[in-house]
Amino acid sequence: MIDSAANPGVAVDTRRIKYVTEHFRQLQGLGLAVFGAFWAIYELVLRAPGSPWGFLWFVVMGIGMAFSGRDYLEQYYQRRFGWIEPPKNSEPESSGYVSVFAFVLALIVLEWLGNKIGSDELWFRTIILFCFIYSLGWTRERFINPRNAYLLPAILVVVFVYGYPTLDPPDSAHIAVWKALTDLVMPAFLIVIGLCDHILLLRLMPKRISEDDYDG
Amino acid sequence: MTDELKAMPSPNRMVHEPARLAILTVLSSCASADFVFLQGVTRLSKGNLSVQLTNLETAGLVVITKEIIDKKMRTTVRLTDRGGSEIADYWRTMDAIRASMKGERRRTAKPGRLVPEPAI
Repeated sequence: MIDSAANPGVAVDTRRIKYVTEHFRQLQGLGLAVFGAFWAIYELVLRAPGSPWGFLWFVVMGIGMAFSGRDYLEQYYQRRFGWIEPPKNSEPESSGYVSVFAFVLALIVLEWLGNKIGSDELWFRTIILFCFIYSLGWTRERFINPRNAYLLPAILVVVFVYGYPTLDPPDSAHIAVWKALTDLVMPAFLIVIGLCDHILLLRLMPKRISEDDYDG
Repeated sequence: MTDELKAMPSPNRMVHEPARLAILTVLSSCASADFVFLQGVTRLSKGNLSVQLTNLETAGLVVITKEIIDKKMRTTVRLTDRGGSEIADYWRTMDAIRASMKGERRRTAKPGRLVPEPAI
């Protein structure tokens, strides 16, 4: 925080400003929350008894809503928070999709390998080990990232829900509950992360009460 | 004042002013930003932001572009090459001042007493 000697009320929180600017796209989380909600409804509809036409109608409606919702959210974020062009040397957005694809691929390979060597918990142990090794490489700057306040607990919940039934298989009375939990934990994760990102953005860029309330 | 303090580098006044420093910090972290984003993140009033942007443009540190997108005017601001080097120089100067202050305090501090970090 840099304070002005001439204007003591005026301070520049350069750390906040840099953080918001560098993570602006990432913090626009409503799209992720809507996607998570759609996924959760999809999982619930999949379970509900009904005709396949009803399911098909739901999918078509969902795709239509996703396209119109994306435009609406983009306009909302531009109107409320403005627009920035990311720096030329920043990571391309596609790298996020590549990471997700690599993660899913790694899970499939680990499951196949686990079946091959007769160990059901191999993929779970590998993920825990990966999280541990990854955490060792964290610098202080990365550790104080405000997103970690909700991102790390949410990841732990997902790992627990996916991993616990593998380590301690549930009895027949609880198997349906665990099945529903494992199916709904990822959509719930996306909803929580999306909403928390959006709330963090609102807190970092609060709406001005009046036009000339502050004259830094 | 010691000779070392006199010889300390002084930051560029155009950059050091808090409102302008906030604007330049935003622009150094992205390729360009529009007026709404700058206003939201710096928390400046429209009038003040407008004045500071004009000052920065006059000093040759930023370029302001106005374009019409979806029937609405969008004011986009980006750093010039000179603006980029000025903000980088500013942070180097501040680091040098911070380092000098630390050195000065270590020399003048009595042994056995805790030395507080200088507030900038």
